Amino acid sequence: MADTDDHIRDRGVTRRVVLRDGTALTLAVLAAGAAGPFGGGVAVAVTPGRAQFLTQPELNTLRGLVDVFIPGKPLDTDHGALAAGCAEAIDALLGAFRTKPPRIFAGAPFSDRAGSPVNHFEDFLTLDKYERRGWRLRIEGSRGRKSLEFNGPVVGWQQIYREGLAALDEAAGDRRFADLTLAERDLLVRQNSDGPAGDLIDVAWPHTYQFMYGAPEYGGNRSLVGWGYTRWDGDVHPRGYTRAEVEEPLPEQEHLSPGEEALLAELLPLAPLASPEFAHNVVASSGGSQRALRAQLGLLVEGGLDLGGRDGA
Amino acid sequence: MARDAVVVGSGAAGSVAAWELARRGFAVTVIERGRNLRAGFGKRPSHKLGTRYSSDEIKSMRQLGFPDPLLEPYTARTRDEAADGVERSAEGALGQLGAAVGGTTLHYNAKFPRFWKQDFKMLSDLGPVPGAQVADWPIDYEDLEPFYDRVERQVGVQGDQDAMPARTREQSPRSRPFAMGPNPITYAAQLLAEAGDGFGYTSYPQPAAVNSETFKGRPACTSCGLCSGFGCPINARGDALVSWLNPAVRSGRVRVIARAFAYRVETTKNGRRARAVRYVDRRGRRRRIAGDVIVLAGSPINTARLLLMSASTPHPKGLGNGSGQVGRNMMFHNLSQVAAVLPDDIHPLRGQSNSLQMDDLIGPFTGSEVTSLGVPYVKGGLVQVGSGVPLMLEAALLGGYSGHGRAHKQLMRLGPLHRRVAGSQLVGEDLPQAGNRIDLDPKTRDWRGFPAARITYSPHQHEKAAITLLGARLEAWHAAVRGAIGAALIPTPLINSGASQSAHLAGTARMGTDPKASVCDAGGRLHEVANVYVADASTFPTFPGFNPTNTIMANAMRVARGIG
Repeated sequence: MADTDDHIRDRGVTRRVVLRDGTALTLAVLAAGAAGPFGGGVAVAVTPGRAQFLTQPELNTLRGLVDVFIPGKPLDTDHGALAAGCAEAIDALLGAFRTKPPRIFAGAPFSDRAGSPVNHFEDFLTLDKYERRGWRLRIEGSRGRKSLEFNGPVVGWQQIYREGLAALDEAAGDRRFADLTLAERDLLVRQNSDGPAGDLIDVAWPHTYQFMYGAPEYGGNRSLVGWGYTRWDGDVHPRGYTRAEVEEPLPEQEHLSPGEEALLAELLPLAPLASPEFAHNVVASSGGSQRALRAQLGLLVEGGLDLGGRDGA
Repeated sequence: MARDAVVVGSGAAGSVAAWELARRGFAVTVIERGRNLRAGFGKRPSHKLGTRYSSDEIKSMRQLGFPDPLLEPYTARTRDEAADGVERSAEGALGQLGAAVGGTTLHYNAKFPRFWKQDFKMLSDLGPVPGAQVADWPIDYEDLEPFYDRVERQVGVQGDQDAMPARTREQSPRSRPFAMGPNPITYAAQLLAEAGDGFGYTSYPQPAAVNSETFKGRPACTSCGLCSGFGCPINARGDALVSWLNPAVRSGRVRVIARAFAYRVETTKNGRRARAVRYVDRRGRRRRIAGDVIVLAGSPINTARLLLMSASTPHPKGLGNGSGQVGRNMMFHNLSQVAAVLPDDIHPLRGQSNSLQMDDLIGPFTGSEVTSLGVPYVKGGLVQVGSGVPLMLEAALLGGYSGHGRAHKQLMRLGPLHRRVAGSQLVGEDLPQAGNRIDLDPKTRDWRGFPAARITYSPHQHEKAAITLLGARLEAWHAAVRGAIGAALIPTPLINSGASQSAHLAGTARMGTDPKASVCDAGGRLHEVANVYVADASTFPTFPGFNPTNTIMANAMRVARGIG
């Protein structure tokens, strides 16, 4: 619980935040969440623990990093990014063009989780020449090729990961990053927001939550753990929702602790971003960079966001 | 022998224009920079088309069906930055619309309201606004109504005419009821509607191009909730492709060239007629296609870019730009966001997002309360009622807020933005300004070497006044939601001096009767080029606060029908 307190800032009440009872806000102490309702596994083409693009030591370092981003047991009650396969999914993304078709866009229209007898998601889409050009540039970088440097050099994710993972290991001193305790790794991540390690964290944190909370066919969210503790139904086609499920309140509500309710109040400044179009555009304009996204949010949420010491970037 | 028409862009405007021109006997070629994402396109009836879309958040976040921001960036800056000589302060995915056969409609939210009568005569009725180029439209609501009606019948629109407020019915009269009744209304939207009752606000089912029953063989929506930013996996959405383009191609009179980027409209030596469109095909070859009629429908930013890239000796400032207005009056809806947060799980993502609409903040508002804010009047817009965001967007937003670690995981477990929020958006009207413009970036290029579109934009005092006046009402309404912990507002124009994060774009080639002050005539034809028409929202002289697709389609059909 203590780590939660460290990372949640008391924001206070702003002009644009109206609390119904007008009470002062306090820091939240969170109750442990319950395990989710999902348990089924899904066949994936990503092998747990085995490197595809990265070297095995690099993958181990990356596994240590995603564990910092979304920690699992025993610190938390639910599995985290390590057990969910996020490191292997990132590795597969870095090596996306080593498979045909590249693992960029999962297939369509349905998985087999909501009534379809066939899982179309497993058959990744073929990219056309334009899509290949864009995704190769993003992943591999321009690497000095003038035809790709029409707006200057592009550093690809492969290089960012390679150099960043090496920087984390170097920062770990006599030991390797992966051999540090979770607290040591967390501290090291928070103290290395610049340079190659910072550049790595800038893209690796978004990749980690994408694979944690995205469709498991991409290699993460193993056993649907990310959808379980968030109570997210995932893709619900072709079954969909009934009229009653849309229109009626849930038959039972979980009980929130006073600390959780206080935390919800603290999140009020962010809540207006709960608009799919607007949020989608905000995230898209960040270009996958955590720093850019923070800058966007800092513009939109009053007073900016004091992220010092708690965002790891 | 059929006359040849070339349509640039296959979205809401281009698909309708192609369909109408084909109906009238033209041989139509559509040039589309994106790819086809619908299996069977042009071969099978629309209800039997496949799709590459799914309820897959990673795919959505990776922007399937959008231009790649590394290959085709836009750049942007504020007006103050421009005045200081800053060439650009942002680059990348900045308001890019979709790039696929069928355009942005493949993954739009499918909200389908009409503009109001009062929107077409703002200058005459309300007078000028200093610093803005408010203008009357050269057409009236009555000119568009038959086309609204035709479009809605073809696309399939759900709604409830009886539930609409009297003023809405009076301002946007209909000649027939909606094709189908509304989908189930989300519980979150119901809570907001109930709270709005206390303020005298009327919320009603928002018209939407989404099937609530089988329509033309396409199935009813199953309320999955993943609409905006997602293609519909079950083909329940009335997009431009299924409604117009696919039937048009199957008629044999329309062909579509996908992954073809139009970079120039070629004219005769004297510049009075266009002869052809030059484009780069999917293999990178430069091609030319002749046309008796050229229709531009690439959306406001891209249409302006193409006109500016088509500069020539007779059109030194860009094609049809003798007025200097091409690219100017760029308008974005200023989506101001408001939300209530509840301790209960109110599942706002179960069901069509924003299932209700509220029109009581459209205005115009006048009086001392308004003039004290520095403007003669304020127009707001409709309010989309009842939203949340799906899980991965929530992870991104909370990640920017809390950073990583167990704190983030705990927030995700709590699920404030996908389980406990009832959000709404004011689709705020944006007044046209000469200084808000699209031009060609002097340095940044796309991957083919063509100059990127550069957006120079800042909101007008009107937009700031509007959210100052209306934001307090929005916030009070949401704070009154039964059981809410509280409510908050992001008054976008007040805190963001740059372009709004909105997919609603208009302006850049306004229509009007005066060639010195407008780019197109009332029929969408360039004043200076006899056979070039603009069919998209570029022509809108003003941008009232309604989701624009219905009006884009209706106006495109009107323009296409008027082509001689």
